[in-house]
Amino acid sequence: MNNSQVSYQGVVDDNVRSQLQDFLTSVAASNIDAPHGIKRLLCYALELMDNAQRYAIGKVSFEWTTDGNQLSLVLKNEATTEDSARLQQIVEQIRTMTAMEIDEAYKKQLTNSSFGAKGGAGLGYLLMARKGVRNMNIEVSPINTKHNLCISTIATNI
Amino acid sequence: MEPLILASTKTTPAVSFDPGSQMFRVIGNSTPVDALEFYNKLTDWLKANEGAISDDAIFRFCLPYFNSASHKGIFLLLKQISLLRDNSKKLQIVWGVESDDEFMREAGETMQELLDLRLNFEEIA
Repeated sequence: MNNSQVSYQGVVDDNVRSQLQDFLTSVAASNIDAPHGIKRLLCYALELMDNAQRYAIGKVSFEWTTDGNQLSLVLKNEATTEDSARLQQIVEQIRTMTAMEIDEAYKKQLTNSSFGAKGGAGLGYLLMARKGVRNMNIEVSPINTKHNLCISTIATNI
Repeated sequence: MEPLILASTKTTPAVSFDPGSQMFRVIGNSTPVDALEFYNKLTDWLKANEGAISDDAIFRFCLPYFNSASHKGIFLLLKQISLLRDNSKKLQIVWGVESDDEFMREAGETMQELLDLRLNFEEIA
């Protein structure tokens, strides 16, 4: 197991997400001695980047860090007050749920055919929690009356 | 009956729905931000062409990675396929899984459970 760090700052679009997926796959394969778990870790990173493309206003800052058997992901972006408050509420709600409640909520959300106005399925954080991520957080601080700075943090065992 | 052929892109899988061969394939990574728009094309085609799908049709899904929005899109597509099956069609659904890929297997098992649908899990290289 080797420690690794990847940082990206800039806009997020299909091209960036696609290339980041390929790059993180290589980084993980070369530095993590758990090939069967790599897809799970990539999934967390890419769910955050999906959110970034949907909700971020302008540039984002994204960091992937592995240290020993820990992966931490940090996404910083500007978002509307509505989007940031909604995401924060979702994460805070998930943090109070048991594993069984998370599983039930995931299945309920999967079978609900509605999508958000920006294409979200409402499954990303539930998916991470269902896979065992317990350390997830979103800090929100106001930039102005319409926009907030969101700092989304995920930490999990590799 | 016109087949539905979509080339893969950076974020969407290749699609080949071919009534001529009765093979219906979705192959490749699926990470579109707007999964609803993409998967609606597939479910709409199935609804419009239900009569062209015979009992021996094979649906093959091989998606090494998909995001959670795609999971819902694929679920809705499988739901449409399950309606075809309810109309007495005995079609097969093959769900490709890379070896040791617990993520993809679990996603398939979840949809199988929720739709009361049998997926044939097939290991892919």
